Amino acid sequence: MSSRAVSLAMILAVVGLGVTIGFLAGVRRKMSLEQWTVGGRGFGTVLMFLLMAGEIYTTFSFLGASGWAYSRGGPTLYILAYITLAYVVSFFILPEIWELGRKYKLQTQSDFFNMRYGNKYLAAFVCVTGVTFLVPYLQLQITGLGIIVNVASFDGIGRTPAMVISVVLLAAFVFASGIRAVAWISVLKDVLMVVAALSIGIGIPYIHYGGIGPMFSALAQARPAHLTMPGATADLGHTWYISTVLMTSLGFCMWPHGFGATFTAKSPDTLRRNAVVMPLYTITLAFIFFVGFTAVLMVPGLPDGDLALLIIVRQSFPAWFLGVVGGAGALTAMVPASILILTAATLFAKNLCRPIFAPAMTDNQVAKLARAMVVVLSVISLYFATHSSATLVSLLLLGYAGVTQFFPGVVLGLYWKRVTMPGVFAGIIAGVATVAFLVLTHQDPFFGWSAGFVALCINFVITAILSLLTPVMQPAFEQTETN
Amino acid sequence: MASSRVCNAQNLVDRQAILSEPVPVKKPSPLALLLGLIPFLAMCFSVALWDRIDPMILGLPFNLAWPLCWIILTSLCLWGAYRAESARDKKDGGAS
Repeated sequence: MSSRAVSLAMILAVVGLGVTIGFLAGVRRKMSLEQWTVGGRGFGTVLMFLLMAGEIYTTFSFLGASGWAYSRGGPTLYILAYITLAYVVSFFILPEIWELGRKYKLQTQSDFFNMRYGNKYLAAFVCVTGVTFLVPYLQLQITGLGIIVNVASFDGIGRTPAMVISVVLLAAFVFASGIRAVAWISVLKDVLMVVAALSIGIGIPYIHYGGIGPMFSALAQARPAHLTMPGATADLGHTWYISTVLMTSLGFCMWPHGFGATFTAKSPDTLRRNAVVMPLYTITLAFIFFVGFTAVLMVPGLPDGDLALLIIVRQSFPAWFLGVVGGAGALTAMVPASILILTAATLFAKNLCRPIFAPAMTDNQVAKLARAMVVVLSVISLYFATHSSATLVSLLLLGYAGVTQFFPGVVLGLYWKRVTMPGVFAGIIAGVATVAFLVLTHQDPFFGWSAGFVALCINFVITAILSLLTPVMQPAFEQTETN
Repeated sequence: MASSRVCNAQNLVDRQAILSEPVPVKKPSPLALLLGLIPFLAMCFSVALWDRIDPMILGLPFNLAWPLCWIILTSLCLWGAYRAESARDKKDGGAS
């Protein structure tokens, strides 16, 4: 067999194994709409851990992080900091959100806004914004899948056809499973990912330099500026680092799918314990960085940094191993992508269409609409993926810049009695408008500051001022003072 | 249209009824908040102090070794915060 056939067969075998596991998990339980979206309440620590861990290992961390280590250098370190600090934030706010979810039977982020601020248009706006900014995240996964199939086929399958194949697989995967299945496929995905990250993170520097230490010494000698900030960029310095880490760590819990997954936890204690353990999981990302840094001197001049990891794996290992890494990478894209698609589709049907346009819809019709939306969203993301040259990391940063705008509404909603609906509504609109303006006019970073962070500050100020100027119409969640 | 308005009014009434029986939102304890602040100081705001290559630690540039070390320390900080919060929860539970 040719190398191409071997590596592609390996990928198919790994993905096939994943789908089989998902299918077995899916057929045992009948799915109602609630089960389809939140898996029924009562995921324990293990399943919850897997769902949230699914968040860490996406194509972003696999190909994107190594891609930025290769093409940008030092600034890529923000990834280690932001994921760790995101769990610190989650430790404090997710247990409270969970309590409210149980009390008011909330399933989604829009439900939360609807309950706290009592305005269905605000809830619908939150829903539209959330779905909109899920698209770049989804696009990222599809681009990643395309890269994997393209490199593993030794360029035999072009990137665009590879992406089309991936999207078809993805939609089939989503229809065949559901969130419970996805959580179980996460097991396979994470085991493979950790094994792959460790073996290439240690193996590749060893093959080319004789170890990780010698690799960094060589790089520090040849390209010292690459290893610190702003690295190979002009404007990603320390201001960018601080503003981006703040913007993304505050925004982490604001992703509609993460917010929704919170409600699937068994208890607030589960969420706290997760937050204690999860940062340790980030350590393996360092091994992904090692691969990207090795590639800087070994495979210089790649047109697209996101190719770096797979290209150097292809040069360093036999084809079957490229296939295993590619298969792990494919699951790493498909698992989060299906969570994203499921969330976006149900949000659209349940929190936008039904309350605003068709209050008479039955649950059955909502489920049907959600299924149709899976296809629509896949096609939209595919369109963007084939028409964009943004790096994987910048796609994620765009998504973060959007969803982080929910942070003031959520946190002030939890802890500040004085916050009002008009304040929050205007704040989110101003934040999203700022992001759109800065990104579309190519001003991100804005004088060295991350655009999402600038928008978040404007959002906070407007929310606070307008809240103080408008009367409180809705009852707040009651605060308990403890000491 | 009319039915939807009725439906909304009904929702509003439900909401008022539900919220009149308030859910306690706990403010985190000061100790837990302090423990949560430490990782932000160490990994985020202080970047200018540790963003350099030397001294290399275990073969890693200093700006890679530092955050890696703080990932473990963050976990420890949160473990401390977890202990603080559950001690408080227990005390509250006992009091009520």
